[in-house]
Formats: sequence, structure tokens, C-alpha cells
Amino acid sequence: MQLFMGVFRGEIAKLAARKKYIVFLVIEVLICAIVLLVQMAVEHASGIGLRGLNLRMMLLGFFISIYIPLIIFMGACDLFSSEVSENSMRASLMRPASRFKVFFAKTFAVYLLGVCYLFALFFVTVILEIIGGSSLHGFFSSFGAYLLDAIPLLVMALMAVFVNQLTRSSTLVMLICIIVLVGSYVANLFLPQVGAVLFTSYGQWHNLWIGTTLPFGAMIMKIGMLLGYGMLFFCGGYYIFERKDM
Amino acid sequence: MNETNITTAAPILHIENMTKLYSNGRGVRDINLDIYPGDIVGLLGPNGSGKTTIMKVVVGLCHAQSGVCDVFGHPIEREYEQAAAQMSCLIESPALYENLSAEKNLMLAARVRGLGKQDALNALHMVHLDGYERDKVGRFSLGMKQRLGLAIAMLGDPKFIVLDEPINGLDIEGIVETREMIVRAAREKGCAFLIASHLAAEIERTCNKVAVVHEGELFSFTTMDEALRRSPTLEDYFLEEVRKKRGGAL
Ligand SMILES: Nc1ncnc2c1ncn2[C@@H]1O[C@H](COP(=O)(O)OP(=O)(O)OP(=O)(O)O)[C@@H](O)[C@H]1O
Ligand SMILES: [Mg+2]
Repeated sequence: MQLFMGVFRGEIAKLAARKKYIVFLVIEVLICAIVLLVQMAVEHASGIGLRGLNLRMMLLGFFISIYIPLIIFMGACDLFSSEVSENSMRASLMRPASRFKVFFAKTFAVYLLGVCYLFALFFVTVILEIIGGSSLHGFFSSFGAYLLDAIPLLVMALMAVFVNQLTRSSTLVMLICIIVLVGSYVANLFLPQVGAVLFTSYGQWHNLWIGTTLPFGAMIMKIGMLLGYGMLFFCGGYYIFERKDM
Repeated sequence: MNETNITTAAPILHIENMTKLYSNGRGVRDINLDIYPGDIVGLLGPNGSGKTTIMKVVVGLCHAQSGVCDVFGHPIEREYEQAAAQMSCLIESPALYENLSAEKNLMLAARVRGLGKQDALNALHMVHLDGYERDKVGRFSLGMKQRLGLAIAMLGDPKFIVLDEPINGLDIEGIVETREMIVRAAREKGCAFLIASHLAAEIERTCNKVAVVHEGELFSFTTMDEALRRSPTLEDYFLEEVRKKRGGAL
């Protein structure tokens, strides 16, 4: 455990040392602030109360389906393919921690990066709503929605890590990941039957749970599907990582 | 220099009939090598002969196709953590994170070994890089990176150290100090070293055993004294061995 924590803290330190993640966090805050300002301006001009649409849930949809996946892809590239191409991956593998621990620590760090952005979004929107004078209705149910959406994010991270094992070019990895993401959204739009079996269609996972009454059986199936994708990406990624000559 | 007792102690590194071929058919074949506590083994061979490949298999960066490679009695692939617990290495150019400071680079290694900041600073002091702990490694000179790589390799008193071209880019003082450090660690703490170099003179001064690698094969693994008894210098010994091999193969 001490060995794993040593590796894991190292991975977190590596991500934290990259300033771009701070910049993207600031951009996230700015987007939230701009949306709130626009919302207030519209309300003021038209006199129609938009307070029913709370900022938290409105922005969650955008961030969970586009912004945070991109951050996760970037994090995965930083900890995997760029390290391999810059020859610093060897540093992690030359320490007395097994490849499994290294792989697991890196993957978990990538996931944690996404989760940080997700909950940063929650707290920023809550603070902005308080400043804007909103009522914060449905605080707990929206917090629940955020918690639920953290689950499919894990599969997203595992997918990005898996793609990273296929090539050492970060640009190519980014491209493949974005194509998979956008492609699945497009597929979801035109072929809902296909979309339903893609892991990316769970981007707004909370919609399945909150406000709808899905049959229990369908729910189990969706959980199973997500689990299946997760296992597939994790095992496939680790299999390649373990065998690689560095 | 030859005071270690070969017959009683268990080997730190035991390689038997190890073969590692890359997908292009190059690599090393049928390597046999045993290293005991206190040994400083020099791997001598021309460019592309397979020195780095052998070392990569030993430290677990590459997987051998066949054969045995045990470190401290543990097979490197199946029981990596036990095998690597007291091993450290510097393979080719040091693996450093250029966007991190020297101290952070050291801390990455230190944390995994359960060491703290003070150990990292001590290691920096040992290679005379104090004052540079906050500088980004990307702005280091070649020799400074090499020194940092050596500091990382020496962190936490490992008992078996694999060094690939350890003096690459070092200044005269650095070369002498590295050599003294290696000899001292072997004599006082019983550390074992596996060192690759194509500089015969450096191997001759540092090591007490020498193995010659040529075109993916390891032959003539002897003590330094024996090699120097047969030829006036290690350079002559190396050339003679390679010529003998070529003659035998033809
Ligand atoms: N990743 C790789 N893929 C394919 N072939 C490789 C790879 N790495 C090394 N080789 C080949 O294996 C052989 C041995 O290379 P190695 O790096 O072990 O040589 P070396 O003895 O360390 O040489 P040098 O003195 O230049 O460091 C060479 O012919 C090289 O072309
Ligand atoms: Mg080499």
C-alpha cells in the first residue's frame, strides 16, 4: 500500500505541476460566470423568470459530455503516451513498484483529475448562484446527479488510457478519443438503438436515475454494460502495458 | 580487489541462457552471467552489441523470450517487487521529467522507496547539485542530468546497481568521484554493480570483473586480474577476445 501511495502521489504531483490544468479550471469558472450573467440579463430584459433552470444542472450537461472528457483525454496523454515518447515512462518502471501498481496509479490519477473538475463545477456554480441570489432549490438532488455522473467518467478515463496503449503519439491518441466521443454522440442522434449500447451515451447518466422511472431490469442492464466496458478497457489496457518493452 | 568469496555467497544476479530478441531480430542470445555481492562487473562491447539490452532485461524494462533472470533469487518478471526492492539503475540517458525541478524528480523516486525530502536533498548534495534543487531539469546541462540520474540511482542504499554509461557527459572530477563512489560502495557495503561502457580504460580502473559482449553474445567472463594477466591492458584483451571469436566463427 505504501508503495502504491508513493507511485500515486507522484502521478498527482506530475499532473499538478502542469499549469494548463489550472488554466482550464479558470476557463471552467469563467464559462460558469458568463452563463450566469447571460441568464440574469435575459431574465432582466424579458421579465420571464428562468430561475427554474438552475445553473448547476444546466452546466452539468455541457461539461460532462464535452469539457471534462477532453480534460481526461489530456491527462491520460500526459501520464501515458507523452511519457513513453519523452522516455520518462522508464522512470516509473525502474522503481520497485510493479507495472500493475504503476498502471493502476496512473489510471486512477487520470480519473481523479476528471472528478476534480466535476466537483469544482458543482462548487463554482453553487457559489455563483448564491452570489446571484438564487434559492439553491434541489441542492441535494443535484449533488446526487453529480455523484452519479462521476461513475461513467471512470469508463471514459479507462477508454482514454486504453487508447494510449495503442500508440505513443499523443496527438493521435487525442484524435482517436475525440473521434470516438463525437462519433458516438452523432450515432446516438441518428441511430438511438446503436447509441444505447455505447458507453459514451451514459455521459448524462444522472438523467437515467433522476426524474424518470426506468424499469429495474433495464437499469441493471445499463449498469452491467458500463461495468463491461470498464473491465474491457482496463484489462485490455493493462495487458498491453504489461508486455511493452520500454 | 578480488577478495569476494565466489563459492559460498548466493548470487545477486543470476542469468542463465537468457535470450531477448527484438521484433527486428536483433538483440542478445544465450546470455549467462552471475554477479555476487561486492562484484563490480564491467560489460564491454562495441556499439549495438547488446549491453543496454541485457541491462533492460535485468531491471525488468524488457521481457526476455527465454531463459532465467533472477535478482536476489526472485525471477524479475514474476516477482518484480521483491527482485527490484534493493535494485536501482541508470539506463542510457537518465529518465527525468523535464518540466519538474531536480528535487521533485528525486522525490518521485524517493516516495516509492519510502524515503523523505531529506534523503532527496542528501542525494543531491552527494552529486554536488545543491543549489539547483528548484531548477527545472529541462534547463540542466548534459552532465548535470547525468549527475541527477546517478543521484536517483544511489537513492536509498540499493544493494545492486545497474549503470549504463555512468560517466557519459561527466567532467573529470565527476568521473573520478563516480568511480570512487562505486568502489567504496562495493567494498564497504557489499553492493554489486553491473556497469556498461565502451571505454576500456574506465572499466579497467573501476571493475573487478569483466564480460565482453559482441554481436548479441556474451563471452569470456573473467576477473580483471585474469584479463590483465593475459594482456597488458583491457583494451588489448578486448581486441584479442573479439578477434578470437571472429576467427572461431569463420
Ligand atoms: N527497441 C528496439 N527495437 C529493435 N531493435 C533494438 C531496440 N533496441 C535496441 N535494438 C537493437 O539491439 C541491438 C543491441 O542494442 P543495444 O542498445 O543493447 O546496444 P549497446 O551495446 O547498448 O550499444 P551502445 O554501446 O551504442 O549503447 C542493436 O543492434 C540495436 O539495433
Ligand atoms: Mg547502450
